[in-house]
Amino acid sequence: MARYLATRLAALLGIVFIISIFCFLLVHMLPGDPSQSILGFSWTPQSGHQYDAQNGLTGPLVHQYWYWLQHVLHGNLGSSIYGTPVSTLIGSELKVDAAIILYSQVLAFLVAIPLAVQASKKPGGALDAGSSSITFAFYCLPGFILITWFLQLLTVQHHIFPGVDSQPFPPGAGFFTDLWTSLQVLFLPSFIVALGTLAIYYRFLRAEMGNTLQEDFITVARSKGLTTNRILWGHALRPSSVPVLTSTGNNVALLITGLFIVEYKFGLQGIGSELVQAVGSKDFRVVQGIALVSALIIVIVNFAIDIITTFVDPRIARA
Amino acid sequence: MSTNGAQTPAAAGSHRLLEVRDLRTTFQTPRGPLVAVDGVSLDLDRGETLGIVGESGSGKTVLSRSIMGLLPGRGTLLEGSVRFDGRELVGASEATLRSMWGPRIAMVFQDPMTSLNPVHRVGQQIAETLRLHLKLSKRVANESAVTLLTQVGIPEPKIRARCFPVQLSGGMRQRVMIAIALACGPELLLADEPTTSLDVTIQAQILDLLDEAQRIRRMAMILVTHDLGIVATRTDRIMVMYAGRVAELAPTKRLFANVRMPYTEALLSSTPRMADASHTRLRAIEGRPPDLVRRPSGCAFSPRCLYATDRCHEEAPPLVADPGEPDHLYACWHPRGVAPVTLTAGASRVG
Amino acid sequence: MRDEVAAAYAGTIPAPERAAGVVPAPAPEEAPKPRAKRKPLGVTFWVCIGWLSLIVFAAVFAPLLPVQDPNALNLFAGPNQGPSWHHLLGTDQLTRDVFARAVFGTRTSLTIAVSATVIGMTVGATLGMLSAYARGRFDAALSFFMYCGLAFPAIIAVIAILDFWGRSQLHVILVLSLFSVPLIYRLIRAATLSTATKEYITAARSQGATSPRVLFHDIFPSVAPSILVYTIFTLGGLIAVEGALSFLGFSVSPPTPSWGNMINDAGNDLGATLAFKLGPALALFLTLVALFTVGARLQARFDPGEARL
Repeated sequence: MARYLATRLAALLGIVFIISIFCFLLVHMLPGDPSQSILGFSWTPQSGHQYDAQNGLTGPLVHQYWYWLQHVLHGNLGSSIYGTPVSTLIGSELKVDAAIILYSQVLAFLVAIPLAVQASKKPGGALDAGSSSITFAFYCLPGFILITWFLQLLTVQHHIFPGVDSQPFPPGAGFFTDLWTSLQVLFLPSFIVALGTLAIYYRFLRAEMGNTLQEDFITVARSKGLTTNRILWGHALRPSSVPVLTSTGNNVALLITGLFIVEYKFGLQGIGSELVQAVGSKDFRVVQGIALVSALIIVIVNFAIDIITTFVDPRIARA
Repeated sequence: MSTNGAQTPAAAGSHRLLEVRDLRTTFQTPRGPLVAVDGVSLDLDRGETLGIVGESGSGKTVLSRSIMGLLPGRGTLLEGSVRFDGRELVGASEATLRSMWGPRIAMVFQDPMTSLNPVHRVGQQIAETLRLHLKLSKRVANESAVTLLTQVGIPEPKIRARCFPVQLSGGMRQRVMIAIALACGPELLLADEPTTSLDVTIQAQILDLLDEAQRIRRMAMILVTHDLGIVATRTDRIMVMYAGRVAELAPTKRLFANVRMPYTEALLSSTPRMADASHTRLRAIEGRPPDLVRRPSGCAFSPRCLYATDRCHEEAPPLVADPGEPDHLYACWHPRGVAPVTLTAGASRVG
Repeated sequence: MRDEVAAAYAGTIPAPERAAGVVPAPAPEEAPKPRAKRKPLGVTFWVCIGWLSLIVFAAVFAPLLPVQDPNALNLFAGPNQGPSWHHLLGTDQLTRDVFARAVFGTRTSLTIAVSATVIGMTVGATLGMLSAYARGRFDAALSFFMYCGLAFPAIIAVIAILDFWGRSQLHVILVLSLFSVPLIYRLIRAATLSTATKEYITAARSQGATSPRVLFHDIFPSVAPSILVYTIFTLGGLIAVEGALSFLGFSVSPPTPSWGNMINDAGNDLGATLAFKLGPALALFLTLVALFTVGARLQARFDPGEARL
């Protein structure tokens, strides 16, 4: 089993590497010059050149890439054209995205799992049909529509939640203040994200529970005299969890940069918005840094999900 | 209800371990109600082994599950009476049944590959029932599970207990199933085709295991199978089922010696024998079991019976006792080896 | 069957009974088993198909339909008017007819989504099937690259490509196709794998069937239902994604209407009427609902094991 995981890890690191190359190439294909962005009106060909030379932006692409890679392997992601070190930038912004992802997924699980388990008790019953329909509706309602409506309703008109451009992590606050503020500020965006993922998790889990409950070992469990709830939660849930976990991996991967829409509309400064700005101003280091970090996160999360699934369902690695 | 006084004489006043009377199981299907078990009665004493034999679709598996009460709830109707140690099981609450499943009645299932939960360790699956019914602590339950594994003949039980089902062979899994069934010391064991999915070489071992367990614990056992060879040596009585009804019921030796029902005769003659020459043709019974949703009137076996007469097609024969052997019952208008019977429906029930 | 039974036991049935033709009709079991009844698709299904047809009709025939010019300014009517006979959904803040814009928006959104789906599906499904069938190094290499594609932050490429090449329908289509290929590849490959490893494929090959023949004749028919279902779901997904992109201004440029940018406009403008706010959003919602319902029904029909208990 260790061998299986080790090979997976190696492959995943290879992927991160390749992604960084492609990002590099892509951004460099774009017209424009970072030195122009930073120097603005004071740009002259000489000062431009000087800037480039100072920042390893001259020479053939391969050299430039190598320059960057070397620094990365030493833990230095470089600096934005505006001076802030990329790592600091990413660090503070990633917190916002991570928080949204965490809150939304927790919320989605808290609702989807009990709902699916209860619904599978009486297939075709009121709860089952009702939940299916409602979650289906959530799935079909793209987040951005909800954002527009909710924002208007809940922040502008009624002030239930803090408005746009609030800071979820005000600088200098302690951990618990952070927690509380972030919950307030990020509740709405997390909620909206949760609605969509909730639908997917419910659907997968309910379908899989339906299949699992027809298996022989469930009848055997009944014959042991176990109660229905015990059977559902202790015996049927675990074998049914794999599709949900896999889709969680996918979702997190998509959400890391995909939260861009949510960030933009809620005025939050997260990785997605940063990325868009950086591409616009040709801020290579930032783009590279974010691309690398997000690819790394995706890969790590998927790897973690792989490990978790081998624990949840021993058939996968041991058969 | 003209058929089925399939009781054997009971001592007045005492009750047997298991008394089944006119059990009828009906399933709702898209094509209409399907009567899988149609008025079956039987008795069982402690320590006795009853073999139930029949083709696929004869209702034998449904019967065993009906006796236990383990049918899927939706669209199923259970009628009649099942008295276990004096207690009525038909119509009993789910909670009552659950308290009996394990400590008093247990079942061994057919397919060991799919009967164990793939995500739980084997020892845990045994310990679970111990903790639930016998209220053992975790540690004691786990130790008992290991002991049980030893008793069912699994080598290196301590290591095996920590294994997942996927790591065990079919024969071993079936032994685990048996351990689970025996864990709380049930008084009645229902073994539903316990060896059908296993290699022939393993079959004997499993059956011996069951025999031994039964002997030691004085358990009553119902052994359901389609294989006559299995029931020939390991049962006290045999019940032959066809189309949801009892075709013949007799003590084992007598059944083989004095076959009465043509169906049983056909079954026996279709079993290949070791003594036969190697090129002997296999004899199968022509035709197929009847459609249980639209039962033809008359004897269910008549379309395939060699000796069928008009009467057989029109009127279903009642289950009666053989005049010479009161504990040998059959349902046939023209039983083999006996002078033609001039029975009318409803006559001569032994009760 | 009945004749066989009679024949086999002809010698034993006493003659008078035989002559009277007493042998009863064979039980229905003896006749070939009737096919299990197929679940009917249901009223909901056809209603959804109806809505989708309507949408497609509107998209295809938009210029020929008797609606207003979507970009014309209706100065007489004034901005932000509610629904009226002339303007079924009222006007937006620039006095353009909302209904007309919605209809033309359908055209934009659907063209993009459908084209991207077609391209993505063709490429992704073909590669997926080939990969699953060929296995070995080809499969390993291709899967690796597709995984890279999946983990790649698509946003970067979307922005970069659209900024670089300019925003037009074609470019949006290409970008969307590009990023749907890895997903589709993965799905179709998985679906094909479960077929390709089945015994009957091995049997076909052992009889000398050549690879292309096996692929088309044996594997494709099993995978085809999955392909159909995934196409529908992909289409839905891409409609949503295009909506999101145009919501943010990353799709076609104004004044070309598309559902996404109309929703954005409605959200931004404080004076927007309810009809304007709800119209395109509802159209999008209903289309997705219809599409996913159709997809789900088809999926249930093709794979009864996954249908409800």
